[in-house]
Amino acid sequence: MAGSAPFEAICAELASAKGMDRWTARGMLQLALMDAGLDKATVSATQLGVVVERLLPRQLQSQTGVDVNRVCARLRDVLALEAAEEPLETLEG
Amino acid sequence: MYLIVFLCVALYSVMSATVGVRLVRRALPVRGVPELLMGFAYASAPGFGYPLVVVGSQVSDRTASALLFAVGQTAIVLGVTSFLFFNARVFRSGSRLAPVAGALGGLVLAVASYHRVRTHIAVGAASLSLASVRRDTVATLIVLGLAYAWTALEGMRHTRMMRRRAQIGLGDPVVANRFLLWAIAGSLQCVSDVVIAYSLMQGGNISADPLPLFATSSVGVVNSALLVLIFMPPARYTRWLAREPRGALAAA
Repeated sequence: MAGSAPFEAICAELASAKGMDRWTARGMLQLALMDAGLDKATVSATQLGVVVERLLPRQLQSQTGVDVNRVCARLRDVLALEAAEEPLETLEG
Repeated sequence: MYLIVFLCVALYSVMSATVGVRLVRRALPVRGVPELLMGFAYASAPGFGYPLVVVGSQVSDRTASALLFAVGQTAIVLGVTSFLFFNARVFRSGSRLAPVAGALGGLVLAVASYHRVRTHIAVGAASLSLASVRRDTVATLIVLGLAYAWTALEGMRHTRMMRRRAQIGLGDPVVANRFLLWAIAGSLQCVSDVVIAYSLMQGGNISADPLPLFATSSVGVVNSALLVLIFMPPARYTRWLAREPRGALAAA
């Protein structure tokens, strides 16, 4: 199943980081989403922002050679662009 | 005792009709398909279908009895099918299997109800004592039980997800609580259907035996209250959930 647009966008960004590849990035993000109780198909940029802030750094620290702060800052930039395109309301609201 | 049972079931029907009509009215202007499916399901099956079937079984005039029974059965089939498609649409929107499962469930209900109506026209209210009608009723209850079990499992899954979201400061406690109550309502209704189906398979009389009557009436009362809290929560309740977010995810 494909992920939401913000999910795919930060997957691509994370995969381009030093020491990462596409599958590692995707798996790492999916694990973080599971911990957060979120679904990759419906996750919004705002929700991903919280995941990047609160959960992803811990996971990235286990990956050797990754500059956690720099990668997270780049992901936040990508999410800021995605958030600008998001509708204001979600189905659950 | 029968009066209490009648009042409990009547309360559930009234609450279902109220919630159903309210949801449909809310859904129509904004074309909200999930609300429309859920509203129609509640209004059609427990709201109008079940009372019509019960009244149709009591009316002495054969033509009126057959008409009410047939309309009631049709409303139940359409309502439960709508409920199945609500589950498919809301909880499994990306799945191709879920709508097929919903359509299959609807088909089983339609066939079983068609047979029940035909037998009712031929035999009258005593048709429930016939083995073939009992079999059709059990088939209906199995589909109903599976629909409610599906609801309960999805409700539990989403409650667990909401609990995880709450830990990182995400999620709305009112929505989280709605999933929890939804899971409880589905579980109770599923248990009630199992009890009634078991009673029928044992040759019992579901309109007179204490166990199926207790299951129907107690679940009817509890689910009436749950319907209010899920779909028309009092302001004081939502304020409490917002103030005490942990309360929204308590139990379960």
